[in-house]
Amino acid sequence: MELQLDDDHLVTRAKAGRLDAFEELVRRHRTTVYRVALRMLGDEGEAEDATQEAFVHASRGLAGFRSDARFSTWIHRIVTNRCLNLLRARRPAVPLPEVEVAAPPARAPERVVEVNWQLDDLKQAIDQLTPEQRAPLVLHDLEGHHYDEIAAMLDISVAAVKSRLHRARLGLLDAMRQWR
Amino acid sequence: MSAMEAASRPLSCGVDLVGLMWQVADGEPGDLAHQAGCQVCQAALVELRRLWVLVGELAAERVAAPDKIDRVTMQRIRRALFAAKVAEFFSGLLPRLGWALLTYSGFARGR
Repeated sequence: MELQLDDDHLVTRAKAGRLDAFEELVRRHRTTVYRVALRMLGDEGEAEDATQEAFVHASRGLAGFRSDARFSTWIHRIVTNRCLNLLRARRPAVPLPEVEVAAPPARAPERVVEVNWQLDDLKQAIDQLTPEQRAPLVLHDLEGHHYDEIAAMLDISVAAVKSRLHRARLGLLDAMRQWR
Repeated sequence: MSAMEAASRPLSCGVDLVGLMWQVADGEPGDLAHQAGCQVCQAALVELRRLWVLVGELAAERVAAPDKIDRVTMQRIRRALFAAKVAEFFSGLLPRLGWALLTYSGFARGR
């Protein structure tokens, strides 16, 4: 029977130079890291690049990773900051209003199709949030991280996380009102 | 005034939308007695719950990372490690080579 090592053991092995251990960490966390990047960037190609960059960055910085933190939190912190940098660099080129969602096309009657349309609208609304508002929304409401984890990831206070999250949620609510 | 600013103002019944949002999104306690008799709050709660169902759907949506991501990532890491080893090798070799050349030229001049 094959033993499943936990992340801490894999990190210890990877720190000792075992590349196969790091490869297993990549395999385990690629989906959530990619998902965070995709929700943050809204583009599959950019999300793939950001995911790769995050793991490459993690492999270089593994020696400095403190084992009292979870690897998943650490790698999410890296990918989130990578995405924030990309979004900030992108911002001057494509200035966006804070919340402005185009009217959706006519909806098909089936509920499933309607939900899909609404999800597309929601993704568009998330794309319209500022990077600073989007990060806590993705990390808390979509990925389920705790406020204190997000505060550590973004290097801000818990109060600031809540404030940004509140504004992000208001942005979504406002966008939803425009869908009708 | 932006629509977002409008959304952050108290409702016409005086209740702050912020509190209702935390109630729906994070399960924080709300003023249930007031909400039971307030149509404004009830309408806002319906709207917020509709949004939160959608957020939940998005959170649960299956997202698969491209299959090649592991392979490409590990290739990049291996290349970076190899480059670091080569750099380390040459950074150790060059001073030794320099020292050997200086020593040799000293000997050569001494002859």
